[in-house]
Amino acid sequence: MASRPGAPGPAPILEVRDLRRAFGGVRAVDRASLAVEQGSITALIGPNGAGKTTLFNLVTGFLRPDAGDVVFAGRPVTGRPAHVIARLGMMRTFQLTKALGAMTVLDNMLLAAQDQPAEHLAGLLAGPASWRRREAANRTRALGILERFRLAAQARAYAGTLSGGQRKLLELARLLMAAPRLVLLDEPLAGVNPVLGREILAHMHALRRERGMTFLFIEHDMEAVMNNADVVIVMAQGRVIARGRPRDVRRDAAVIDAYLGAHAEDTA
Amino acid sequence: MLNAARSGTPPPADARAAATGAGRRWVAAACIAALAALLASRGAETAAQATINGLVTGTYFALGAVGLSLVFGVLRLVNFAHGDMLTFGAYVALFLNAGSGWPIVPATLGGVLATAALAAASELAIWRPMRARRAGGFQMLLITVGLAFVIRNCIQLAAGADPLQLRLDVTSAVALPGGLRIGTVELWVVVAGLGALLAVATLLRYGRLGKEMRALADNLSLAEVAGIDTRRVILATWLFAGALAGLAGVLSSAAAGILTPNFGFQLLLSLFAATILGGIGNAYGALAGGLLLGFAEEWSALFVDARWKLAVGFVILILTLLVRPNGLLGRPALK
Amino acid sequence: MTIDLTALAAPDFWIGVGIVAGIYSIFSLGLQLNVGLTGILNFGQAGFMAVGAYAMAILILRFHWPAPVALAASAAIAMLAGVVIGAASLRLSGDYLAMATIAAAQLVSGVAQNAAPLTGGNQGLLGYDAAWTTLARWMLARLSAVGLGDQSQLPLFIVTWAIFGLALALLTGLRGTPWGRVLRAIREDEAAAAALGKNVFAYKLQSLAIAAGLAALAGDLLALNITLIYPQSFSADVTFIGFAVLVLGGLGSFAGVALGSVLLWSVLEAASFVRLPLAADKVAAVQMLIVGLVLIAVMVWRPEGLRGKREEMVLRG
Ligand SMILES: Nc1ncnc2c1ncn2[C@@H]1O[C@H](COP(=O)(O)OP(=O)(O)OP(=O)(O)O)[C@@H](O)[C@H]1O
Ligand SMILES: [Mg+2]
Repeated sequence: MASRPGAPGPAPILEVRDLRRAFGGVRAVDRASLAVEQGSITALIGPNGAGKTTLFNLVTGFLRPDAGDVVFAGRPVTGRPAHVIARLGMMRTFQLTKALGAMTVLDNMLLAAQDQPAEHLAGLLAGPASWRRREAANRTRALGILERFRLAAQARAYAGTLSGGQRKLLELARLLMAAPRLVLLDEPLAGVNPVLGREILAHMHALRRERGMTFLFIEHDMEAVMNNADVVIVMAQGRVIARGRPRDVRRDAAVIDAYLGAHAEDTA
Repeated sequence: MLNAARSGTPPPADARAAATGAGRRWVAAACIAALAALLASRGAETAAQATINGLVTGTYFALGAVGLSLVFGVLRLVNFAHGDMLTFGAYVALFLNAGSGWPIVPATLGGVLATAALAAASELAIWRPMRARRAGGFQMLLITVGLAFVIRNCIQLAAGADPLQLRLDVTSAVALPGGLRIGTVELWVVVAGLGALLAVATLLRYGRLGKEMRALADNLSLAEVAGIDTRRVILATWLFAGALAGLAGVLSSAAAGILTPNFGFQLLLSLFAATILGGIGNAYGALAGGLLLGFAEEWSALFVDARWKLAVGFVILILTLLVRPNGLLGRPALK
Repeated sequence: MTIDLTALAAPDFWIGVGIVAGIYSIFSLGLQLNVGLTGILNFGQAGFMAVGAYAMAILILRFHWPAPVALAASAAIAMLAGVVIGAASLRLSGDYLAMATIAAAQLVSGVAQNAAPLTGGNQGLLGYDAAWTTLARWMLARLSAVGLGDQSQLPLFIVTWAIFGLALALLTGLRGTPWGRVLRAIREDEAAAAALGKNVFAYKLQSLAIAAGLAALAGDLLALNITLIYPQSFSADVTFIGFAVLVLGGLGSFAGVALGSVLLWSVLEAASFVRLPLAADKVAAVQMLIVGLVLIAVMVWRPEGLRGKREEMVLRG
């Protein structure tokens, strides 16, 4: 049987305690608690409407929680603005891809770089020479990453001209450019063909290996979850109902109930 | 076993959950406080007179705001031409009344019908084709601005910029109990306006059209799937909004006793304020918001110079947007 | 109906058109920065213009500041107004922001009307241009060396377009920087920009403040051009003429702004050559009718305008 819901493992990089958020009468996230271990690949699963995306939004500062705490790398970040949390090293993708279609692929990458002081008006005052140097270095790095994600040929194309799968890759590449410590992926495999799906998963493992990045990903494809996650966290109706190794979780009675219950409601 | 059904539904927009009850209580408390302050500082009679004036203003604000809100609710369109639709209705009525010598009632009806026709024409000539092209919100918004310019300046071209007046007896007044007075014209404005509002409210509440409009406001594509003839409902929404705007135009110019081509545009921001006060897209909210704003402007005139009356509307608009962008009354949602 | 073409050949006519077109170019550069580059619907630009023009006139007339200092201060004050109004309103999106900013502009106009001791109320202000007249006379003396001494409006024309040129260079430069890239990202998708660590609100505030500063400079020039300012000089119509200029030139294109402005104002001013048997108010109506038709026509048939890029069009509402 899976361990107690939300039980913290060793050295959590992210800790969520009793997080709550309601929309009108809908308790989208209802006292959810969970922990993500440093260096792990953790999956967040649950039936449609379980509150997974809302949890992401709360954790990353895109929504304000009604109550509860979020601690990232030992710092409380509850209710901090999204950009601050991102700058601290916790970044996310969205359920619907947010590649910036009216910008080129390369500009998407350069935008993600976190070390360009000329993004601020004050930083521009240092003169063009200094930021152009930084820009050139970033461009080289970006092209290298694009190469790795097989997007280098499209570097100068508008991101809007990419295929859906390529856009998902670009989002991942952009994250790598930003180099966060913890990455939250909202359904990275949704709407992606199996070949590309495997590629995305392989990138995830490689990035963890090479850079020690931690991943928390929402996914509905159970095969992918079972084969790739170290830890699986299960949500239903806004709560975390189970947490454990994949093969333990799939046998958990509460989890089976949650999914069956969801199906029963769907067909009712 | 665990392979749950996949759906690609986007997360709903952040619907700020405004506690509706709290909003209403807040408004009620503010009104009572304002009235108490009035009574204490200016005496019952002054307060009552200001309230009557507020009712007159509030009536035509409400008429204008309901139409604006209906269009927003169904089409998500902030119509910057709405104020000029008021002007249009007023000028048609004025032309029929002062120009062609029609009595005021048929002239008013003429103005109402003409404005409804204008609104329907805009739907057929512009909005429907633009929706078919999937035009963006920015395009639509600037088209309403352009339309506002076209309507206003066609009127100015036809009638000139000089102030005009309906042929009405604006001097007679009716005495009310307690030594209060209301102008005869103003009394008729309130009676006709509130009557029309009541009729509209009933129709929206119980009529099939009202239900269909709500269905469209909730989710246009879903309503379409559910077999509602959305084209017909949208056209009806425009007819409605136009008719109400026309009536609001005639009544407001009658109450103000003056009409210029800028008349409606100057009212527009007050109508926005009323609409947002009531929760944009919510017709009943707009009705209440309109009345509330009318009172607020007239009551405020007792405390600050009446020249600042209009500014009160802008301040309320900005404050509402800042504090409770989903409005004080009515349902939340709609972003 | 006849058309009198003799005036069309007169250079002072074109200089006059050029001044107005230049003023609206500067004004609309700010709109371009907001709408075309940042994606914020600033419907209150005329309000910032009023703040600038009144600030300059009041500082000169009531506080006897030297004109150049007053000019610089007017831009700073308008930028401050941009920060204040932006801080209050920029968390709103799309249409709501449009309503909030236009209301703020109306509030400015209400203050101008009612704070008569300072602003002259509906009578307005005049006599703030003494220093400018001196400078213009000096410039004319230099110009007469090249035979242009009799073009009394030429100094203002030169100053206006010089300021436009500087502003254009500045904004074009800024757009190409990493700062400008963040603005473009915000224009397209605020959430994506925030997710990459960009402080969306701060960028919007900077964008609005810069636009307000440009509006103020345009207002100062307008004040020098019309020599008398009163609240109606800065009505909401001015903002919307700016939008017509903006969309005509093309969203996202700074140079397009000048093109749109020159084109629109040539047409508007030429409309007064068609000697319709019309009173002044009706000629004004014809002009504003054209503005409305331009707005509609461009949005219906060519939303990217003359110089905009279709790929970069983000037509959010
Ligand atoms: N902004 C919002 N406004 C109102 N209700 C919302 C909002 N966001 C989410 N909800 C509601 O909260 C609940 C949880 O939604 P959420 O998107 O978090 O689920 P999810 O687990 O991500 O589902 P899915 O697997 O379908 O993506 C749902 O009932 C949803 O309708
Ligand atoms: Mg989700």
